[in-house]
Amino acid sequence: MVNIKKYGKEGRVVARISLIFLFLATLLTGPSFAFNLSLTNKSSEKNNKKIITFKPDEEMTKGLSLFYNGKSDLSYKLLDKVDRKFNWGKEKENAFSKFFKSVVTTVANEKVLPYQPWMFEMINVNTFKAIDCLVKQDFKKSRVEFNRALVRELEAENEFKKEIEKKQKELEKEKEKAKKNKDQIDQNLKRSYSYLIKKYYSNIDKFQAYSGFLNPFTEYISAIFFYSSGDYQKATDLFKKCFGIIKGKEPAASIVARDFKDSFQRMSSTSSSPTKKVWIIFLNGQIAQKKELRVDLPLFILTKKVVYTGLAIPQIGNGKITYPYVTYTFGKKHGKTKRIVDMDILEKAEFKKRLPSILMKAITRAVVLTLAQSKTGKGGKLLIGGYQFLMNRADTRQWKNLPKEVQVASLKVTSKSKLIISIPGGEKKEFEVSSDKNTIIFVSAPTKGKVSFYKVEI
Amino acid sequence: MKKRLLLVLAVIPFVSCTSNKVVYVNPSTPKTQPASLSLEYQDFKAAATALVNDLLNSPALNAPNGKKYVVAISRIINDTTQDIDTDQLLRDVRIALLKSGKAIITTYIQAGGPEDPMTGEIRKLRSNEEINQSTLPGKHQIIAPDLSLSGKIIQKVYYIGDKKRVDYYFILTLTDVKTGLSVWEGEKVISKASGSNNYTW
Repeated sequence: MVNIKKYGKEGRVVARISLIFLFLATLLTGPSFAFNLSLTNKSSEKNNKKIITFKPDEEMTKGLSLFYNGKSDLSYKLLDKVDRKFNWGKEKENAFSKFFKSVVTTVANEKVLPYQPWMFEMINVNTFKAIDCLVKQDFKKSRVEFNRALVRELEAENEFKKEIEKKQKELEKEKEKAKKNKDQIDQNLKRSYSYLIKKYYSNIDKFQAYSGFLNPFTEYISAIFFYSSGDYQKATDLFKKCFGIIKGKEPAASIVARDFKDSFQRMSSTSSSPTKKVWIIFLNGQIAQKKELRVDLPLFILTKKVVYTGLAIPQIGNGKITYPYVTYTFGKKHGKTKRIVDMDILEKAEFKKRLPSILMKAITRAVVLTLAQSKTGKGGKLLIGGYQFLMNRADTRQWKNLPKEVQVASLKVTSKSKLIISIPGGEKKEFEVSSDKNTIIFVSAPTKGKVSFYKVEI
Repeated sequence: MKKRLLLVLAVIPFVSCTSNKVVYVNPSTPKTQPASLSLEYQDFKAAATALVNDLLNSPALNAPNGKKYVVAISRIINDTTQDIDTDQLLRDVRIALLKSGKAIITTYIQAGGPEDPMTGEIRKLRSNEEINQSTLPGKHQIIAPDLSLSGKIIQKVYYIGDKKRVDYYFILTLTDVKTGLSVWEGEKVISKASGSNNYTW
């Protein structure tokens, strides 16, 4: 047991700060930890109970990996767990939990809390759940999941609209405050923030979303489903929306335009046996990975009594595609798939929105802990300095194996024909395409040598 | 310091109260307070009651000479974000139709296959020498439907400031299967609102 009295007044200050922090961390992380336990897998073996904490980032990665390996049932179950937990967490959130989360992530680290999936990841959770259901031929459930994915997009729009409005108000308040308040700490925080943006995120302005937080792939695959189910009104609206998002930005815009035209014409047609179509959906490569960057913060509040200072911030690299495209032969038609979405764009656009909050927390943490060091004696400096070193980590958790991009092709089926899909420099696969059903062929290639094909008839 | 800390701790229970209470938006909705944004038993009950009353009050089921129409149940599409058993909507409608004396439901001819396959199964026994053939139903006995009941449950979500509103549209259509014409259509809307952090699934 440490005798803090021998460290005198400084020791008592450190002890009080530590106790308050531990109290806050327990209050906040206690319920989260308890919830993690309630969603754990427990072995029922006697005297050998094994509890695994639920980690959404790992579950999403495992879930998609199972889809790539042809296990849509298990893939659906894992992604469903993430889906339910996310909703549960949001519903339980209140001002108190938000406040303490903010305190814990500022004084400690985001990594002490369970990973909170980003909005673009949650949209993909429901999109891939829907695709799992398509592969399992459970079309009723597919419809439900596609609807959920579309509602998630609305939610993302609303979420960031609220944040932008909040930030605008805070910015106005700060401007007023800055005129009256010449507080040195405040000014230095802002200067540190500007320095980091200029030095490490100079290209941040290039991170532009397609349109709000819409994922054109979600729009497109939902439209294909609704078209194939005979819901031409909804399909037409979604094809039109998708086209609007990627027009002038992605090469698949012309493909989507044709699908929109076909769907629109179908709406007014009285034919009971419309021309069927076949689509190729190519899930290509791996999304950009987050990485940690440790930087030296040029603090303007200098103290000579500091053992350690620094901060760690996340950066996003670039994703990698596995193949440039896949080619097809369908009767006399030949062609190749074209890109409809670059998932890196979705990730970076959301990162750009979150960056101010991430950086301010990292800077504040560095300043608060460095100041705390300067106010304590030798023992306190070592304790806080060591704690700061351990806590100085960027949160690089993410859904690791989302595809870097999705490419598509769309063909009309006039008679029963053979569709041959070829991977550049490698595999070929043949499919019999029926003329009385709509067909979707999923081709996934997360890495070279790991290509899988799934055929769905609706 | 101690007094300030105690004051903060005393305020916490009030600060932590959530503002995610769910309420009905339109006036002609179930009287019971909703527990969630998703569809509940009372919502199905209210929708079925409104729709079947509208149907029975319309002339669609007034057949000449006191005849009873034979109604087949077609597809009820669930176009929401919830896993719904659409039978929940239909159950009350079917019971009310049968009680009205204006319609009979066929359980053999139905979208997705017979509800009760026994009608078809029993006829397969015609080739079974063990069965007393005179006790089996004769040929040309099954009655084809006159009308088909189909529908859809649609959900629309709106974000208005800090609130979320969800509108559920219950739509039923009665079609004359001989002509393909719709003889009745009904719609019931149930709207719920809550804080934006409530989900329908």
